Amino acid sequence: MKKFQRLAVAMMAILLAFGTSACGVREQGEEVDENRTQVYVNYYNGGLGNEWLPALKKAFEDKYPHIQIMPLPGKNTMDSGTVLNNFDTYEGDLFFMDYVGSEHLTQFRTKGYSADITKYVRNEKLTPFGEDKTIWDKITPSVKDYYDLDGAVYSLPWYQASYQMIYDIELFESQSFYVDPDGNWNNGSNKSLGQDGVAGTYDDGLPVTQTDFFNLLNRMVEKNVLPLTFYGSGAYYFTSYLTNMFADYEGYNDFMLNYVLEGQDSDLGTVTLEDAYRLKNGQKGKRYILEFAERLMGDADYYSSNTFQTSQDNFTAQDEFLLSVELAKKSSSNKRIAMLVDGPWWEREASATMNDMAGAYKNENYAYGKRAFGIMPMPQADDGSSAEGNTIACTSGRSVIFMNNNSKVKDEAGLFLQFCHSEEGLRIATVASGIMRPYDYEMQEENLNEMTPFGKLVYGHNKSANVVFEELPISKFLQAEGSAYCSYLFTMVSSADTTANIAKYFQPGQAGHTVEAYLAGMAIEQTPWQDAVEEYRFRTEN
Amino acid sequence: MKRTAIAHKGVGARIVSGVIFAVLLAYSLTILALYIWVLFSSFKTRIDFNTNIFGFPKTFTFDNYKNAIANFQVPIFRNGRMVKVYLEELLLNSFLYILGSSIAATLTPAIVAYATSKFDFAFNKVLDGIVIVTMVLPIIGAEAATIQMTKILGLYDRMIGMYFMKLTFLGFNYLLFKSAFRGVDKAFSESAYIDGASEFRVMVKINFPMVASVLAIVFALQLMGFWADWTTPLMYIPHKPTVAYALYELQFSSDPLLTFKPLQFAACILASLPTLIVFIVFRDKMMGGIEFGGIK
Amino acid sequence: MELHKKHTIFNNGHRRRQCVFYVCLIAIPLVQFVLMYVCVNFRSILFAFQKYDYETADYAFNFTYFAQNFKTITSELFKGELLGRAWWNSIKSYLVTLLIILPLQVFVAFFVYKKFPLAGYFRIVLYLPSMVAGMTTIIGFKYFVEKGLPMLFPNIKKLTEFGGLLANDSTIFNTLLFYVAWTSLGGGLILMTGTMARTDKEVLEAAHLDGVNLWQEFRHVIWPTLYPVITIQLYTGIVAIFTGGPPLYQFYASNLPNEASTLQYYFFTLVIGSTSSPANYPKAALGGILFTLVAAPIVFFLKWVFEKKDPNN
Repeated sequence: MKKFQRLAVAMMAILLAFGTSACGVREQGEEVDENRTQVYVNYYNGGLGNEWLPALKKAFEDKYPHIQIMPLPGKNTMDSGTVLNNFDTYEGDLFFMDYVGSEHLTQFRTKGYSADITKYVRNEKLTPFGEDKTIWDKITPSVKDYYDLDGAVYSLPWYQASYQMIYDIELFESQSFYVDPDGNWNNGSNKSLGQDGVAGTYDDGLPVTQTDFFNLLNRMVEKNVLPLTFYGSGAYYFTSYLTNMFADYEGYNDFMLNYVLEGQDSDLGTVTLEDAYRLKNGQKGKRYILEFAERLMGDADYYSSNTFQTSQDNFTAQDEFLLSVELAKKSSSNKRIAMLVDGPWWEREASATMNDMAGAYKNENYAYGKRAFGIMPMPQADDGSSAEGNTIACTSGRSVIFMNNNSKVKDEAGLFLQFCHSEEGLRIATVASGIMRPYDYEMQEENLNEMTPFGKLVYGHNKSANVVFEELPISKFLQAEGSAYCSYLFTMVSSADTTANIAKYFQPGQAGHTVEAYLAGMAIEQTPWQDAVEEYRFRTEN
Repeated sequence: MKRTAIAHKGVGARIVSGVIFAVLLAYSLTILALYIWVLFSSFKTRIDFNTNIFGFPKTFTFDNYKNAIANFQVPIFRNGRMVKVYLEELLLNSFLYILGSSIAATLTPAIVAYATSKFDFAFNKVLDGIVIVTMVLPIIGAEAATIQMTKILGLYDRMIGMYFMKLTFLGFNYLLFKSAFRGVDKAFSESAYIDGASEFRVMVKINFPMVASVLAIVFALQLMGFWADWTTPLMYIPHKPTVAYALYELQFSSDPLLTFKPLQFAACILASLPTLIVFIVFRDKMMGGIEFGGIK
Repeated sequence: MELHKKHTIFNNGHRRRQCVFYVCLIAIPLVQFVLMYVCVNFRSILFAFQKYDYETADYAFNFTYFAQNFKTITSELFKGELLGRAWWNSIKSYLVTLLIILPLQVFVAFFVYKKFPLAGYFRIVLYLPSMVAGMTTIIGFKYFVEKGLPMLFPNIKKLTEFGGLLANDSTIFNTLLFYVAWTSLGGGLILMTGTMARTDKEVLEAAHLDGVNLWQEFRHVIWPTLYPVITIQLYTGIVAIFTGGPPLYQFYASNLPNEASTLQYYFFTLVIGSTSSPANYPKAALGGILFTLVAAPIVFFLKWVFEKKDPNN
């Protein structure tokens, strides 16, 4: 035993010596070039990956070799509260942040941390990049008002992403889950025109109405295919998908009312700030999505039994979806999974699994960028009450870009900011990350060819629809006295389930879990709302 | 001759002991099973883990450990650029952090507890009250103010600053030491005073050795606690990241190569090795204590 | 008749030297306490008198806000349905810790201390959960409960209903309590066996010579040594009703179903995570102060009771 103890102590001493030998001799970051001007960029290194900024850096520095862009990635260090509390320790001239609540965003401004970038965003056109527009001209209309502070601009939206139902194209083809123009099941060789009535778009051959959608699911079940899996123990994924469906049902204007709080609603008529609390459970779209969720979740044959397990996170759900093709070959008790609910970054997140599959099963078609996936269109109401066209609700409304007010290189940082929002910059970023930006821009064929098939599909899908953002407090009331009414998943929260995990709520066998109960629980009490509005009016009108 | 408890007993007692032993053994096996599974899983590929969760690895690989070590890094801003702090520097930072902090966090409550238990001053009640109240007062939103204070004092982002922050007598350990010192017979101190020893000498040469086992226990617990602590170094010494913080970053990484359980298990095992080694080597000291007694 | 003069630092050199030494011992820790606790946390106390001003994105101070914050937090604490469950879960967690986990920890520690067969093995294995990174144990527990148990017991429907024991609203909290018990039985090993080992060997030998059985040895010889350590945990542990409980955030982050909420989780998520807001700080801080006002007297009282009942006295 003494020998063992001596050995263990020796090992510890070696570890300590190893530690004390630290000279930082391994890979270092890019050297500062004394002959150039450095622009530091703090950015959240998450679902978008970290390839997009180096790609932008390279293209920008080719144009402006006297400026050196220095990427500073971070994840846990880029939480908005952490940045706010330690702002003087961050070196970035520009910040790209994933989720900044309106209170924090206001604090960044009032504490003098974020700079006024009106000059670079509204006043100067993108002429250096061959464009006759300003950044402001290009911002997606639905978010513009949020960033407009009486003509001044302190921040910009960063990226645009929505939750969709993603399906396995190869499975749909092999099992004939498509429909032809006559409504018969088809292997994709002769697809119907789909919801938009246009051939050659993402929705060809796919369900149009809710009835069509459940017919498809039933066919899957008959063919021993499991229709769906997703990260069910976290409310965010499926509830965001339902919010997307809600937006599609209501349409652009009626969805936006939830965040603008004044206007005309097709169900409620004239809406004013004082009675806008009615929107929460008064719009028919809420009932529509709850009934959809009830029907989908009420049948356990429609989704994987792993869905709601806490050991199933988004990565595990992706792996389950992807690997099902091989697992189903091993035993009939293992079912192939047809669809996954996730955001557009899922493919990049699952790229290692896809590449591992290609190697393990010696099938190049499993590799990242080779395996084909599609987007399932949002089912329309059978009675035709869904709004015309498609509306996509993105969850990324609180992702922001701002400039450090203490930056000594504002003009250079502003120039890089402008480049990022030029056509070229937006294309580069979209190709590198696979995620859209909330600006008006067109991808060229050569750019699209650099993307995965799914990435191209996401672009096409977004371009064909009206884009809105959930949880974006456009009304000043929601940024202040009413901020509790625009908090995390608030549009879908109910007293019946304050975590807003609607999918879990409608699992079968739970007494009292009905659409009526959930809808009733969604109601906002009139008195507290009107008290808050009164306070807001008093403060702003006096 | 080593005599165990069972040797003392009659039949009934042996049956009871046997049942207790069996239950404890079964319980310990459930714990062992979990960590053996974690260990086996750390040698699996991604596909193997997803398709064979509880089985032995079909393809035994050390790649997870290699990748964990290669990616055990924290990017920080230093000298005008982004650099990656790798394992060797992480280990150094961790050792400096845990050793200094553990010494500070062990000796400070011991010294204050010695003061309040051996000297009869009215202020003792104040100190006792402070300890109790602070243990029951949950503090909300103090992080920003604490960071500000460390910057004002010139302690921010410095290891010595961490040590200063650990010079606290608050918490459970103060009460533990106080109780331990109360149990030390005054006769020892008195005979030392008679021999002309100073207060300092009595404290260091008589009383502290009497509670050496408690000191060792608290020190060991602090070591293990600080080893696993990633939030404090992140907030107060951000340019000196530790192994615990690197592990935390790894577990929440968005890099597709790092987002699967076997690799995260490998990283956890690597990060837990030092505490495991320390515990295995010194467990007898930690759990065996030292002889108590000596007034003869 | 001579009156006995009280020795003070003014009339007694020895007392004066003691005072100087005493001050030297406590000076630095006291300065550290004032700087790093009082000055820092004064801000938190101030929160109780503040309200978040959305216009300036800062906190406005006014004594009247104390009443508003008080009304808000007390109505949330005592009227909201969520808080009803949180109270019960918090108390349940404390009672389980007090009545089940702590006695079992003592039992296990005694077993190891007495060098029962395989004591060396038990020391290492039972302490593993405290040594290995917490996330590993949590992930392993999730897999075992959700995938392992259904494999072992396929006929028990409860194991897979609504996603399993950790997803089913009716079983989540009890499963987590089991997790705490399962991982923490060995958690007191170092402290308790180390304390037991300080028992006077001569007293032990005398007891054995008198023919005591295991229970008598524990009750009359070991327990007095262990008493201070246990009672400190008992009376300081009362605060665990407000600040303790299972590691809910590590298991669920912000996705914890209401059924499993505790007071600690509720207050934690007011200020941390996706559901937090700076506007919550005042009510959260006031909630903390109220807890202290309730818990502190109870702690002092229990401390007094336990010190009165100390078998070492």
